[in-house]
Amino acid sequence: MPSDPEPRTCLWYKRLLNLYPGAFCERYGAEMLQAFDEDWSRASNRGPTSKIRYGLHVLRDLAGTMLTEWLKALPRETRIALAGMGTMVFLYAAGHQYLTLADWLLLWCYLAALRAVLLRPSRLQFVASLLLTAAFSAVYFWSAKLLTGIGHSAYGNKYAVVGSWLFGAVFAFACLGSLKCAWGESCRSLLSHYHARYVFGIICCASAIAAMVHFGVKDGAHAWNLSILSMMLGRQLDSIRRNTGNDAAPDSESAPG
Amino acid sequence: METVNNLPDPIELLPLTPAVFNILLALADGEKHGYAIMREVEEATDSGVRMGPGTLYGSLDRMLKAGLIEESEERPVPAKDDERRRYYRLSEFGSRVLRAEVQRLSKAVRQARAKKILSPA
Repeated sequence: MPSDPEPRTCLWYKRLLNLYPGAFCERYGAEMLQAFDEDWSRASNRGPTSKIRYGLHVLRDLAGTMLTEWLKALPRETRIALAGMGTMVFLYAAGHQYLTLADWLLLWCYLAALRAVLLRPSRLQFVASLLLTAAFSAVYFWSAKLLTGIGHSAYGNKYAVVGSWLFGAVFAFACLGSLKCAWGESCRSLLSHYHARYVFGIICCASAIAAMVHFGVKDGAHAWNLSILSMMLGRQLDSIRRNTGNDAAPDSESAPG
Repeated sequence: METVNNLPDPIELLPLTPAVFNILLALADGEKHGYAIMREVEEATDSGVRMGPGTLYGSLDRMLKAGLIEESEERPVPAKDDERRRYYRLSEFGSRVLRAEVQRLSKAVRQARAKKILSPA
């Protein structure tokens, strides 16, 4: 490390780098500071206008990339939940605020459990996953029933029963498919054969459209929400199918570009 | 570092963002450290693509995870080395993605020439 005292601008930049997520800052912070230091010196040699222009460029760069890196650093479930919150704002206006909130919270729990349980499955975890499924279904059923009772949805009760057991079945199937036994193998080959992701997608879209036609667009919005959640679960199933056999996480990440 | 087990078809990653494309192009003729990549991209594009440190290292991070580039373990001679710097090089997969992107762009240029938007080479 250089022994010269760092210029004040570099110290400011160094402080700003601490606003990045810890892991990113730790890995790239020193190199970023060095790159900034060299560019800042070049800009300074060209005169004050160049310095101001470079300063603005760096601030814009910091603001944009900091947000991206924080979003990347968040667990997948949190990102999905945040996206869900965004959708919720729209659906709030459609008049289904409470049930929509329940949907997304439930999805968050399911995805967290899928990740936790399926990464290193054992019989104990399999039993735990079934208990979680039952607990989530009960919470969903209870919240929908409660809200139906206070007049938020005329059909929520029925739909909640169907929805919660659909989720439960998907989740149990995913857990079974992750086991390294004959049953697990059969499950995996079934998923592989029928391309679960697309089948779930088609079923869910069809059910959402049917619900919209039957209950009207306002109530149908909730059905649509459920269908999106189910499709996401379908995607998780597909990832699990592709990754079973090695210890990779269900969500294989990231395509740049 | 994350290992990449199932690499996708290079076509699936196209079109690349200007930052990713230019980083791959800068690494095509050998390994470089981050700042050297930044300088080369700026010079090669006549400052058309000007990456700040955040954009550069954010892109490098994503590209490492996607298996497009690798961190090089070879270091230059100690007199020229700075221990804070890491060196990056194109991976085999990164080369294939870069080739696919260049082919895609060449095709677009050919079409532009055929429509007389560009003068013939």
